[in-house]
Amino acid sequence: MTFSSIGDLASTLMLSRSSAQARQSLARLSTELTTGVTADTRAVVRGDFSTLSDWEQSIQSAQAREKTLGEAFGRVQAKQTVLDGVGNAIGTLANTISLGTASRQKPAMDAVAASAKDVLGQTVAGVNVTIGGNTLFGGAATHLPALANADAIFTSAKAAVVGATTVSDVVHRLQTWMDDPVNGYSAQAYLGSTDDGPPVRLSASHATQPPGRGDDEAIRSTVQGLLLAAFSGEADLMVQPVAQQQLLDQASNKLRSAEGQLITLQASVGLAEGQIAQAKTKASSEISTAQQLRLSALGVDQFETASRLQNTELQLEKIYMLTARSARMSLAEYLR
Amino acid sequence: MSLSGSLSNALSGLSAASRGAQIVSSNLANAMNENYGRRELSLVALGGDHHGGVRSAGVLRHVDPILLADRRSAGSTLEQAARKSESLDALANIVGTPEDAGSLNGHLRRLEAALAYAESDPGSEVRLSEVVRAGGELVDTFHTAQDGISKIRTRADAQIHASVKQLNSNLERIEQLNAEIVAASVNGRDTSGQMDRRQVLIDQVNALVPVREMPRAHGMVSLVTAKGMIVLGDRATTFEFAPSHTIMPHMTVDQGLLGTLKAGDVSFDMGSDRSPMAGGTLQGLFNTRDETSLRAQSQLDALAFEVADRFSDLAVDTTSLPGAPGLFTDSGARADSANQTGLAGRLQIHQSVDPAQGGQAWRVRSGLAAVTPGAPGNASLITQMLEAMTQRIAPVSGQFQASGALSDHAAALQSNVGTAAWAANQELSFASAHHEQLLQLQRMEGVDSDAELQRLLSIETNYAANAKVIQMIDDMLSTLMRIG
Repeated sequence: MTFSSIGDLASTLMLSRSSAQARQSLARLSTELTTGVTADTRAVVRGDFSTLSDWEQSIQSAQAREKTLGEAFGRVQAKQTVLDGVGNAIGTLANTISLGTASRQKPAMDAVAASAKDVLGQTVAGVNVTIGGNTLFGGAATHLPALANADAIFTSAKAAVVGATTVSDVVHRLQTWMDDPVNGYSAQAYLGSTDDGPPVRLSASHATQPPGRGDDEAIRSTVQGLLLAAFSGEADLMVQPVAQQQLLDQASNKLRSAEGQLITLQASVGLAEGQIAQAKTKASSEISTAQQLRLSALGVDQFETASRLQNTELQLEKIYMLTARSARMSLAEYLR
Repeated sequence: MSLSGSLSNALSGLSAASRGAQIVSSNLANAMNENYGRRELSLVALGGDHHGGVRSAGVLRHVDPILLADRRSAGSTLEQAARKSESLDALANIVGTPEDAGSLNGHLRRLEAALAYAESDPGSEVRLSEVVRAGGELVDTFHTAQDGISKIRTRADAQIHASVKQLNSNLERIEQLNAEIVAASVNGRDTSGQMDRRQVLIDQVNALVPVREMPRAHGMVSLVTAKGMIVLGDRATTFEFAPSHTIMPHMTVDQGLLGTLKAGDVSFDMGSDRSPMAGGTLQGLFNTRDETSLRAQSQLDALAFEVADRFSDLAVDTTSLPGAPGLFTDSGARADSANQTGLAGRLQIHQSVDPAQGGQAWRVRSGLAAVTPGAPGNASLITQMLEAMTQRIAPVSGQFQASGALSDHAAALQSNVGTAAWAANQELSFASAHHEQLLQLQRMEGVDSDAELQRLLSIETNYAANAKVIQMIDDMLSTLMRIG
């Protein structure tokens, strides 16, 4: 009795494999539908992760850069505010000096000298501004104030000029003190460091140093002018009103030139502000571009996934029906 | 007399029918057994000095040897592809993917972000400690990855040992079955059951190394591997393998520190596709232990070396001498390109910045050998570290080709393993589909319960017919007897 036959196990093998595959598909499509991204990254990029890594790298470094640029912007804005304030104060003082010297009255000129001391105090307080505990005008020495307190500066400078007999001598001695690296401004008044402070990172390859340190020309000239104006009120230095007036004139000149220098400094600080704002915008656009590229590569379309899920469900139902029917189609059933 | 002749014919018909029923019942009992060869009764008509009648000539066992050989060859290819795909999947899990924050890439990015924040405020203890912490976690990730790779190799080695033991015991049992089959066949007994068992054992041997059956006299078989080595002739070959209990990164077969497959005096090079024992699970496992894992290990070590090297000899750090280790050390010393093997497990963060080892985080800013903290706003060393990480320069470790930043080299490592894993997956699905197709064809030759039941119906009718003949002859004889 030889007639062709097909083994039982052949059909069960095919049906069981199909149903296992359909159920696996179902699980994967459900995950993709809920998360919105593909379940198997490696299959999508075929094992080559270089572009994916580039995007992740851009996103993370741009995010860090955005935050640090925000901090830098705050610092630079604070510097600008201080420089603004100092510029206004010395501008006002220069005007006051002109009025004072025009009157040639000792009390008026004494009052000007006293207000110069006040402005020195304000300037020092401004230049010593801190953000988050870090001094902004001190270079790398962010833990120290940039300038010593106004009284200490005044005392140290006065000790250098005491004994001068003429106005030009006073001016000359003060200039020497300003330039003296050991006992002068750089050591006694400016307490910060000559090394640069923390840089501002504008891009992955480019970092700048924001301008403005306590030993810049503009600040030096400001302090020098204010000291000259304050000396005019010192009784042990200036005896005659004529000398007082001459000194005040010198102070006024110095303060005017300091004003000009401050404006230049403010311009470069303003430039840095602009650069930082631009870099921040660029960083956020980098982030959104990279995120979008990543989503377009790895994301899945919700509607397409939902319809594939439905098709898989129908397919699974058909497999189950076939399995049930073919189990009933055997001779043994009919011989019962 | 012809009546007694008819009686003996009918009796022979009855016994043939009952033998047939016995075979049908055996077939139906084994319908779910994958390794069962469908039996069929072969009948021969008696003639000559008999009066007719039928004799069962024996039981035919239906197996298509060509299909069986094809299926076995596809099966061992499948096993080898499966071992390769498994090991590459495990390695791909270990090295991770870029979007995973816990991967090597993720930790490199975290270190870079920590350095960027520290650059903005170098005086902050919190930010400097975060740099040290990020560095520490990067080092931990390298250690974990190396441990993972060593575990894969050790496990492969243990599986080889178990497989070789199984191979030896299977070959011995096949030898015994051969002897039994010959004895039974010479004495005319049915050998189908032993042949079924032998087929199962040969399938198991085939999964380990591809073999072909060479039929010999009286139902014996010899086993020859696909590349032509006799593993079972008159006697079974005994294989030896010396397991290693823990595998360290520097242990390779070439250096004689790991076991190889031997049979007597002959040692087999399981790395070559032309080896007599090539193909199957055994070669797949040797490949895992000696090639794919080792390649991943050397690339991991190369990445560790790149990390250590980029942070060394930073010009801004005036406190360190040239040749001194940088932020990442090889167990405290400077990482040496000649000594890269196992570096991933030895990588450490410099003890002078690690608070757990008595260091201070401010040395990240001031210099690794600095005595005092220095100016807190000085970010120049941190800037140089950041630039060292992101600069696109040529790799020095000898494993990566293209110039790139550190994160690019990490992505290259992940891509190397990832593309190999993806290719192995593709190969596996092809091999699996091919094997399944042949398995399906083989199964179609198996027991069909509908056919068996139909046969049983015919046997039932036949039995009834023969019994009726006996009844009729009995009546005829009685009639004869009543004549006196």
